[in-house]
Amino acid sequence: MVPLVVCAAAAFLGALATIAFYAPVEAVQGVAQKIFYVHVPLAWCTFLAVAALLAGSIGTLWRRRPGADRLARSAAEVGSVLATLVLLTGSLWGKAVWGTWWTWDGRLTSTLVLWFILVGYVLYRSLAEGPPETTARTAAVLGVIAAADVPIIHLSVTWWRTLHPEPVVMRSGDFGGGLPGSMLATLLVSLGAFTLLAAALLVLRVRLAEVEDRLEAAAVERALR
Amino acid sequence: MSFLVAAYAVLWIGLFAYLVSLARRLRALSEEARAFAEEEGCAGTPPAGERGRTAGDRSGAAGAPARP
Repeated sequence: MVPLVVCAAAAFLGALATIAFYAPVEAVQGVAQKIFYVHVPLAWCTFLAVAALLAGSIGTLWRRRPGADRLARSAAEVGSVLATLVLLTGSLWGKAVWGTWWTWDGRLTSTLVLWFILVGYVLYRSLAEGPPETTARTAAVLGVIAAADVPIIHLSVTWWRTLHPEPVVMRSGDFGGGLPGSMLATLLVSLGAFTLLAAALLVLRVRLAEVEDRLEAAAVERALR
Repeated sequence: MSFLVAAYAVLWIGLFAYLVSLARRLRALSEEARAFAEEEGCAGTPPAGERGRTAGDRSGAAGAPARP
């Protein structure tokens, strides 16, 4: 656990240095464009967290494994934090470039829907009072719904006319073709660092869920004695 | 420039606050688990730091769905 956190922190600082000193200043947007190097990796990590949520939810619904449920609820919480940061950094970038904090276009709205689902998941897990099995399975359905929103978010900019730009990195048949080399390199460094950081947060949260379950099981055992 | 600074501040504060909250919750629960184990005379509940075996893995454990 500690090596992962140390690696993540080192990579994160390295990425920030790369963004500050290596990435060029974009001609039209100026320095505000550098928000791109944290906004996009945060969105990527949110999608990874939702992928973990989906895996955990399927494991809970199909095999009813406690480990899968722990993964799902941990990923939902980490995903909700990351999605919040995506929306906040995107809003700041939008104000700097578009002149508005928010607009109801496809990409922004579908991301907001994902945020509501993730926050709803976290609230439901912390407030539900029914049998734990039922809570876990109901939440797993919510997790699958959250995952179904991810392709909608990704494709929203091609499905609808939006203010949000179309993909510049994940373009079919032209990976990274929309970016100069130095910007692409900086983005890849940042993506790696944020992925490590998200992994560290998820591992830490799963560890917390293990302790929670252990305590709850011990309390039930004591009550039954 | 101010938007760039604001975005990075939001990022740092957000991630740092979440990391601190996770660490605090983990420490509080670990202490609770340790106290619980001491109360039980070290029987039943494994130490908080123990890896690889969790209560959730036991059949019928609360807080997680049991195996069918």
